[in-house]
Amino acid sequence: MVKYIVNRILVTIPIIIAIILIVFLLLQVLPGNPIQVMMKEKANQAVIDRVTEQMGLNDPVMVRFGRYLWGMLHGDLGHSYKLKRPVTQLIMTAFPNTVKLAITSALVAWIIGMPTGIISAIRKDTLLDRTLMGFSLVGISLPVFWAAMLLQYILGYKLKLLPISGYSTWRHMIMPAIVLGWASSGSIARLTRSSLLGVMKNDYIRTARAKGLVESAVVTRHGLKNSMIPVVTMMAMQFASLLSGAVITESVFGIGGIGQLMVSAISQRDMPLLQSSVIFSTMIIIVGNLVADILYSFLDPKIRTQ
Amino acid sequence: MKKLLAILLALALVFSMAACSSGGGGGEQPAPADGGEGEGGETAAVVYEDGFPENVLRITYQAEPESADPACTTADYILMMNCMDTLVRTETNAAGENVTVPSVAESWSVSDDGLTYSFHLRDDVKFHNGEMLTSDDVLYTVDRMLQPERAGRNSGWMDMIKGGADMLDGKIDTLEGVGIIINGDYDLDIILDAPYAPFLACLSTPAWSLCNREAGDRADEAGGGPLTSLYGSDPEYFCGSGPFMLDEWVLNDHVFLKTNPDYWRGANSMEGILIRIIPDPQTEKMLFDAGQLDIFDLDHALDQIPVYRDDPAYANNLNVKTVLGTSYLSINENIEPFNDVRVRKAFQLAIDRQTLIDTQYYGAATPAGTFLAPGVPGYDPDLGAIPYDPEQAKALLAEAGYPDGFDMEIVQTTDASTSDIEVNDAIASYLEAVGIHVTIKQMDSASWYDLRGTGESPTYRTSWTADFNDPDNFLYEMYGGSGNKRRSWNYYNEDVIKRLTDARYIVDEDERTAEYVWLDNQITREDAAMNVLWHKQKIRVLQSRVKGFVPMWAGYGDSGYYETSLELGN
Amino acid sequence: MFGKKKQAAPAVTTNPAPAEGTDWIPEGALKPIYVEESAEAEIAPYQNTWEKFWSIFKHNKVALISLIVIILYIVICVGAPLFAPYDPIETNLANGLALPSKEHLLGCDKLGRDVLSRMIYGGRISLMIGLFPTLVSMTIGTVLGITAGFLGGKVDQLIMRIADICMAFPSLLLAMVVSYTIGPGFLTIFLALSFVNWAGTARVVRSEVLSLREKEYVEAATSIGVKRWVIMLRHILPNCLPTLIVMLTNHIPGNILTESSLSFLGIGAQPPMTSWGLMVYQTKSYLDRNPTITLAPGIAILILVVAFNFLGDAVRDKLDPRLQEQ
Repeated sequence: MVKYIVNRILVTIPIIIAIILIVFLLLQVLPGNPIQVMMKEKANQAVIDRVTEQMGLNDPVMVRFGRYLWGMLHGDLGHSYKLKRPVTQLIMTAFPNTVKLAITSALVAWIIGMPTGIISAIRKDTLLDRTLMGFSLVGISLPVFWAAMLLQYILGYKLKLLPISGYSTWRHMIMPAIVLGWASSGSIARLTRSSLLGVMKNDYIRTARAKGLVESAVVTRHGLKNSMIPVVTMMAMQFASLLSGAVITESVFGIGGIGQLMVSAISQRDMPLLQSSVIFSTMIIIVGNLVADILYSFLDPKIRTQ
Repeated sequence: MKKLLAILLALALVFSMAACSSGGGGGEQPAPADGGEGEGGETAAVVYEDGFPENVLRITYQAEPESADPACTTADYILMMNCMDTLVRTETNAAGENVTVPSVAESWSVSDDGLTYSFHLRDDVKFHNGEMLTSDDVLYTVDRMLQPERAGRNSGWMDMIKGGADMLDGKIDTLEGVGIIINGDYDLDIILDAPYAPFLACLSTPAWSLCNREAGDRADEAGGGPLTSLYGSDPEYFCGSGPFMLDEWVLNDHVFLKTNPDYWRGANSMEGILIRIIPDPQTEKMLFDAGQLDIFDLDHALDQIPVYRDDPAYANNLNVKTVLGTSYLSINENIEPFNDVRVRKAFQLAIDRQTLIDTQYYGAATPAGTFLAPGVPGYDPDLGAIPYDPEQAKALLAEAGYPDGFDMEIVQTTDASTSDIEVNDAIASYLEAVGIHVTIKQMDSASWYDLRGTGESPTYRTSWTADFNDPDNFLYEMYGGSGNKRRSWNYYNEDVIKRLTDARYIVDEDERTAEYVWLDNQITREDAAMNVLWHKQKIRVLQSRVKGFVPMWAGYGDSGYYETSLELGN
Repeated sequence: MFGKKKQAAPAVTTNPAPAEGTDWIPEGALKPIYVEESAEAEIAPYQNTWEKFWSIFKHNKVALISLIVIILYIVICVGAPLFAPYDPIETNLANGLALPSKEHLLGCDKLGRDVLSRMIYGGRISLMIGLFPTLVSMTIGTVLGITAGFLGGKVDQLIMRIADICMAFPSLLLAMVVSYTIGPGFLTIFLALSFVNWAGTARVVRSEVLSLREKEYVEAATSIGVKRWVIMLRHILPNCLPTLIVMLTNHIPGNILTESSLSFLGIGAQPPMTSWGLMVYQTKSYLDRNPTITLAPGIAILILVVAFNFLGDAVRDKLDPRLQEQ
């Protein structure tokens, strides 16, 4: 077990190094001079050239990469071209908003997804099952920004139930959380259902039933425990994915999270910010997968015994 | 029956859980609504979800403002226009003319050779940090912009001062005694390299916002050097002398400007300005309708113009300002067949400007016939708009050897708004009607700027708005100097380009204006080097509590709000 | 005992797919985690897959309806010129924002273009983006997955680590990088989506291969000296088919949704042509004045994606050995 975890962590290290390198190189192929983009129409070529030079953007790729790595090792991720602030500060300001969104969305997803899946599995092939599964399916089939837009229009604008945009309070988070959470809950419900159904076919369940256990006890004591393994794993990874930034939802609801940070950085060619936020977001996924794997190995007796 | 019951139970379960999650969340922090209660009294119709008091002007910005430091931005001037002062200001007077008026500089004189500008400053201008504004701060403002290590973005507004180029090259450390002579705390001379007629107008641009030396040094030190100075990004280090003070800056959410009680022109009656960052115009509209915003710039959402114009509650609250600028389609003469003037003229004649204005801009523009906008010296009202004449366009194309038309591209950037995309599609179908087949080429703006800089961009549509009220700021920016190639015109008429450069130095005002009338006519009509479209109006809808709002003289999106006040309590 | 260790671990790493818009591929659901050595799968020759596939629709009305809906969509969009009442890009400013009427069933957009016709043509792009990048990425994923699983060792490690990286990279951002570099357009979306999706497929296929490798018939074939690639083609690939088909029905709607997200970011379909995603995005400000033109393309996406998902569920229920009726 410990060996497995250590091994899994060791494998992650070269991936992280590779990602830093790949992100840096990939972003080098992007055309466009950040200074020109920022100065927009009102720019004089001489000034653009001079500022580009003065900011060291004309240095060779390897020099800039070296500088970037050197800074990173010293905890300095550079300075955003556009927002004139240290990148670390920008990411650390945006991340809590993303975390807030991720937590609320995940809560919505779990609270709706798991019971839906369990009820559906128990009542397999009944009208209830179909209704709930249909509801879940619509959740994962909605185009995110369309759903976000309609929700904002109906709940926020027409019914005035919730704030339209922003993220200053938890009330602001409800709509975005519903949009993201509904989609995730659909996946959770479906996985819960199929996993539970799969488990319920096992011999030990049959044995339990034969012993005369009440069906609900069979489900909760034997079925649920085992069927939750893939579900929990999936939830961990979903959560990581939410933490890495939700570009569309953040834009529609005006939430200043990691997703928005990345999108504005890329269109502005704000390289220091872009590199670091992409690497940050990628790391979260990697770490999330790592946690999921470890969680899985922890939950699954088959692996634990090794 | 049993099944139905089960369904109901399940639904109840789901909803109660959803309710739990939201209810639980709401409980952890006080509801934002509380903020407005204190002042509103029992009649307060609007509860502000942002938590700021009622006597705060609520406006939006579409993206995070880049900076409040004139050395750090050439695009987002809102913070400078509200928190800083310039030596002189441009104002639209009662006759509708844009004139330069005193501001921090109480009076000035210009030497006969047009090289030396002598200023006398007011002695009652106080910075937000309590220091008085003196000649030394003016010197500092220029020095810091031209300091090579700072990579000042607006150095183009100052490098005409004597010694400016040397300083940018790192040959000298300060302009003191070279281009700027300090004659006491409140008197100074600025000396130019060569006469430059629009210099005084230049001084009214936000690029010339006056900075404080002490605060500047402190901000540089805190940020670790001039390039990473905190002057424009951290309220603690920012320092201006304007009517509002940078008070709070929450990234990606809002900037709050607090009223400066010691402002030399008298303090504004509002408590401050809340600038919310709202990228999506649809959201902006919803917030405005909910009373959460005071001013809604309909440029972001043209399609809302008729909605508010037809709504009796708002019809009288529209603020219409004709923008001192021109929208146009560029023409790259290096791309065949645009090297043929007949083709360029056909290109101009093929577009029905009035119908496009009526349908796409809901009438909020006037068709253009010249590049110089009405109000700019050198504008010739007699020329009239370019007519819509598809038959003549076809004839011209046939004459030029393209009876069956030709193919062309129009570049559109990926961040173009929906209405921009629609206007381009509509223009394309007008061109199609005379045989010009258009492909819309979509590029992201950074890539496109690169392409345009090489002089190879196909036609693109954009608009130009005056920085200062002078034709030089229009025509020379386009066709003079590096602009000709950098903006992908490749305009070949060398004679015109030479006259354009010479016109900068004409000192006699009438002679200069006459020259620009000729130049504008030659470029936009005779040579048809540019397909001018319209002069837009900027329409803003205001909540009825907003009083006295004066849009920026040239009609930019960014405005100063010093004149604005709010009517409270209803 | 040996085999179980190998198949259990990789099965966990569910595709962390883009958080938004794309379905999580519930690999956990289709992978036998506790692998009850289902006797059925071993005997089953691969022809049965197809028979099973068709038998799905005999008993499942929802699946049948979904299939019909999908076919209908494809027919209408492929034959767009036959079905569209108007030219989708011909403007008529006089009809700007016309409400639905007999002449224009779904009304007109701001330039007076018929919304129904635009939807029929726009569907082509949405469908193409659903189908082609999926096929390409799944082919790449299958080839790499089989290679990794069958060869094992360093090759396996290399491929899987690259897959890890691809899956961790924010996909919408990648699409933006590609788009900004080579210019937006169909090719861009195609490349971006292919690049993102292959990794998930490769993972699943690899774990499938790992479990198949230990099966008796494969061992038998190896022992009588059948060449490796023959084994891969004859025995392993066909047995991966059910999984692949289920993944296919998951990826297609995922990509259709991703296209709408790309349009939101301005790098989807290119005007004057359109896609449903772009139509929704461009008409969002008319929700008050002419809701049909905003709602219709959104509903079109919703119905198509729901149909694909229903179909996918039905296929999975039938083909996943773990869910078989006993």
